[in-house]
Amino acid sequence: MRSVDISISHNDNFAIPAFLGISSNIPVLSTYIYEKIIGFGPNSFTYGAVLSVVLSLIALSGALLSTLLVHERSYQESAKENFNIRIWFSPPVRRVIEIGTVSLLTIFSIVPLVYMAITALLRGFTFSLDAECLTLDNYIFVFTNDGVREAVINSLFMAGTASVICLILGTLIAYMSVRKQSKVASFLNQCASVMYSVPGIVLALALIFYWSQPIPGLNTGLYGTFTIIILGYITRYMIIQIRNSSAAFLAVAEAAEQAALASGSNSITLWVKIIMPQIAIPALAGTFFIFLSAFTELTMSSIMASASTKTIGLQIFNLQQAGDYSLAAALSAGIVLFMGIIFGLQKLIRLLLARRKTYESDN
Amino acid sequence: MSLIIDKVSMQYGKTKVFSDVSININKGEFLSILGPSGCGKTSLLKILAGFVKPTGGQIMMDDVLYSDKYKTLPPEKRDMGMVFQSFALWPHMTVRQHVEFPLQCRHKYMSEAEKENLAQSALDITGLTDLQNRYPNELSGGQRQRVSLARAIAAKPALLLMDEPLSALDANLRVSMRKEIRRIHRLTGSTVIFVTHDQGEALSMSDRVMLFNKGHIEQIDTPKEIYINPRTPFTASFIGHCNFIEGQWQNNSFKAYDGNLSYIGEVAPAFRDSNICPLRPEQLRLNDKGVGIPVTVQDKQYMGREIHYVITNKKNIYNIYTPMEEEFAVGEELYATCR
Repeated sequence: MRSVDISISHNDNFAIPAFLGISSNIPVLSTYIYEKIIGFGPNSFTYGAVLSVVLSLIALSGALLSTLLVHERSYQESAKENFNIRIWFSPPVRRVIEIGTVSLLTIFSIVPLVYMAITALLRGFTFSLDAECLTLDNYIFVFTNDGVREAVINSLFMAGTASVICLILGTLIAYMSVRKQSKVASFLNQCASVMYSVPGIVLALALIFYWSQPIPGLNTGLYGTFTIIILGYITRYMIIQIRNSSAAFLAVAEAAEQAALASGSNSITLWVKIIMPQIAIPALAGTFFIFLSAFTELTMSSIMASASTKTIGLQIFNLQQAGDYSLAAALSAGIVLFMGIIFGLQKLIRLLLARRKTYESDN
Repeated sequence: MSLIIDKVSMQYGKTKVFSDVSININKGEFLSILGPSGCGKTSLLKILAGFVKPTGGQIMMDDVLYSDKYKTLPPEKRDMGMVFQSFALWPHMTVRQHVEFPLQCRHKYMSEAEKENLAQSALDITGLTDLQNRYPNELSGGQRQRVSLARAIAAKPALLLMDEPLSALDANLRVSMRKEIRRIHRLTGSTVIFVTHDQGEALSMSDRVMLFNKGHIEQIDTPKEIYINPRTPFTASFIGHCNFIEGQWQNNSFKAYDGNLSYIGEVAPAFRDSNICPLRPEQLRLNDKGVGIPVTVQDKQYMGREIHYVITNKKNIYNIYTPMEEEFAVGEELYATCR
């Protein structure tokens, strides 16, 4: 079930093959589409569109397969997840498994990160760690460069705006579908789900076609603006917010809301004083995730961004494409640090608010 | 000044929940809505609270239209408080904040000092003053239900709705909370509508009991009347145990088919028409003198104050409660008469 999910999401993954594949001549569908489109030939967009349809069909059939396999999985399940220990290992076996998973994680994730951070300290592309070769120049460059700063501000702005809009809309949709059993809301939910299964590069292309001329004859001129990228992020990541907020609502007993109404509360007071404090943590976890995804996103912005709306992902990609590996590494290390801080901040908030979390109304 | 429920009906799609429910509830009355699960009593309470719109009939409270099939006064505009089976507390608020919440919502123009007074008196009545700064996760089940009660009465509502408030508590606590709720009812003078499936709660607490079964009212009466003069076989068997003895009625006197057992008194037409006499377990007696319906003792439960026997006569099974001194053994062949 999860492996189907993985194969779908990797079918349209762009960032990894773009960095590793293009330079080593291993084209995949998504990078091939990208190359066609930025090629700016006479038929580049239409050719890209045809390839996109092929890629979407593959992705959607995978999504369909996944839906069929997990048909009976409903939201109800997320209401009370069971975290009890289900499989017991003897202490030696457990130790081996623990060491195994930790070392795998270290080899695949932590070592490359450390290596990247160190690469950025090197003068040129060398493997010796002499004091002479070490320099902070790369870090100083990326933290003072105007283009980088602009990209960081762009990404902060677009990811921030998109995640706030997702938080509000996604939570409303979740509320309508969980509490009011609204058909419209569950339709929107399905749509958002499809938007997440469609390959990012395809979605970006589709959004450009659509928003440039939403109604025949109406030219919005949105292509190349912040707005279209923000719209893209909202379309892409909305489902994450809907899922998180739905789970949050399911954890709050409906009677708790009825109790507020029976106490004379109007709907504004109900939301501000009763609902929001109770769903804040799980709902914001979704928003954080959207923010971080959008902040470092490359796939969609590679197609949608213009010179003035460059994102961080694109900035790193451009540096790397231009051969400035050390600069790309320095910027990446900075971004990883920033994400670490955001993540830590989220954990801290969670910890501070944890004391009341233990009460659950039974029944 | 009263709550008038007039021919209220409810159905979800094609499923009828109940129909034509009518009752006038006096100001300050304690009414229990009693019935087996799935009989529609909770739906009726939700309509009274304004969470659900009825499909027919109307509800008036002191000349204000609360609900009919077109219009529902929203819960926040109704002069009521509500206690939930699941307590429905808010995990992020202290006990005191729970009590202050309805005051802030319902009495926007009241002075802070007055609100303070009302909150304090709700805490005093429910004995929560010492716990006022605790969060729900720091309270026991009984304390949580007290918070739910305190919140419901804080704004001094005219109508207090209770949806099986004692079901989630353990047995001892359930009995002591009955007294507590009675006391709170006396102190506040609110009209109380108390939904329960526990006949003990309904009999011991209410001024009147409304017995609900499969979407219709079986009987509305005082606890005493409903116990002594049940009008239908369902009422007789749902409220306390009841033995249905088959026999012949002549005016006010009854003679059993199976033996020398007679009874003199009024019973509802439903029983006369089907040739049965409803007799409570404590209305029957056992003897070994050969007088009455011949029976065999099948089971015996020593209860302390009395002894409960299960006895059989051919295909019939009866329950009899006797005083301590009348002790018989299982398997003994005896005779049952009316006391």
